[in-house]
Amino acid sequence: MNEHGRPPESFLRTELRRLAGEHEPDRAAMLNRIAANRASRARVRGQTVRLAAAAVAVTTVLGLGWVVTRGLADDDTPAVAPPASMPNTTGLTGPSPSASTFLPGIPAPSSTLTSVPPSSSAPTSSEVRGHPGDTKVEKGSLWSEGSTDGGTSTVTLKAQADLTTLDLTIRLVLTPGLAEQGSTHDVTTGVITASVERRSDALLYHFTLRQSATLPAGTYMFTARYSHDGASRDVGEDTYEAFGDDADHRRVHVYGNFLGQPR
Amino acid sequence: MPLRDAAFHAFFEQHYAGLSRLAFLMTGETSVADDLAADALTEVWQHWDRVAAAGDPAAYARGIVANLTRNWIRRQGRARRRLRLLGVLGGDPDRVQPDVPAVLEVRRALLVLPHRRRACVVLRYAFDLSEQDVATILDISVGAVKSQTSRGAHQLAELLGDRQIIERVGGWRGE
Repeated sequence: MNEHGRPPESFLRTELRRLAGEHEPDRAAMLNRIAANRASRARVRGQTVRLAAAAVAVTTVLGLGWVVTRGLADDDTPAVAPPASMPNTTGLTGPSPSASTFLPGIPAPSSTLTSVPPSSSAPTSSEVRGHPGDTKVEKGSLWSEGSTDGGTSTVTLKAQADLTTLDLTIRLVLTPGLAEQGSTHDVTTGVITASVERRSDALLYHFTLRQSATLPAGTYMFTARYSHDGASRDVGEDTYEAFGDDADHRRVHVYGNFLGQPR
Repeated sequence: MPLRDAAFHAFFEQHYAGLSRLAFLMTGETSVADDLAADALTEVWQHWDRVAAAGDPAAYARGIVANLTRNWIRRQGRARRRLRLLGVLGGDPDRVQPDVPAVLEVRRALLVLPHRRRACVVLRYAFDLSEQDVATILDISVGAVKSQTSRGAHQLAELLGDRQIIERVGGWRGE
């Protein structure tokens, strides 16, 4: 369809750039969204951080969102001084009184959560893919979904083809008082081997299809059970990952988390 | 001086607009582009040390945008998407608005492309990234980038060409 004489490459380049320029990003809205994302993750970390989360909400409004949230979330770095010399990130001005709560030397309310050894920059040995932004819940004949319900985390696998191998791992990050209470699944044919492994930073629940067994196409639920301290537990860093082969010898590999679909 | 904050802040300032525009080109929706790009930036911030150590935070961020936009489009539901596509390809010339701006046509045509093809075309042409860069971003081979880009470009040119023919009824048919 190039009778009109324009080489498609330069034509597309021009058109796509023009189209891209049609969208004017809202910088302030993006900053607010980032701050809200971090605050909401912090908020589900349980009652020990409720106060801090509320403070974050306040300071976010005042434009200091990501300066103060470091005390709350799972950052690798210790709390450090706010970058006073940096431009205010939302264009709003004025210091936030709440920010002083998190200044150096004054422990953040969430400090009890940092008892887990800080992770290095290298992935831990028990790394399981599936963190928000790094998910692949569907591959070939296999579809997956993670869900939680007080004290249980369930992965639903929908296999459109028979599976000849399957390895599913549910990884629960160690939070205060986390203890395994076994696992369950609804595969009734006795072909699944289940185990729980405790690592320094996580509980790993393994579900493995026995060698030379076949899991018929269908929908199955695999549940990790656990107890924990406090009224609620943050599931924000929990993930799952499943590897398998279907009857057509196609490799399937899915991974995701328990936060519901990313917004 | 908190180096991590400074580094991420600089990264944000340099890339927020591009990431949002990438999300826009991938979804065709201005209303969700900022949100998806901000969600990707949240992830970058969350894993900043690891991402920065790996050397290419921008590629990481673009890859996440590609991922998030794919998930978002899936969630819009296949049925709705098909309807929208039918609107593009419907073959009902009476419904064509002759005064629809060309950019809107490009936007709609882009949405017809499969996700990976669209991502390749957008990253190569709108953002002028190398084949190697695109391969890194999408975690596919350079060969795959080449073929997907080429197919995407042809498909897009065809869609737009067809469209222009429809819109210039008379002018084209007359010749």
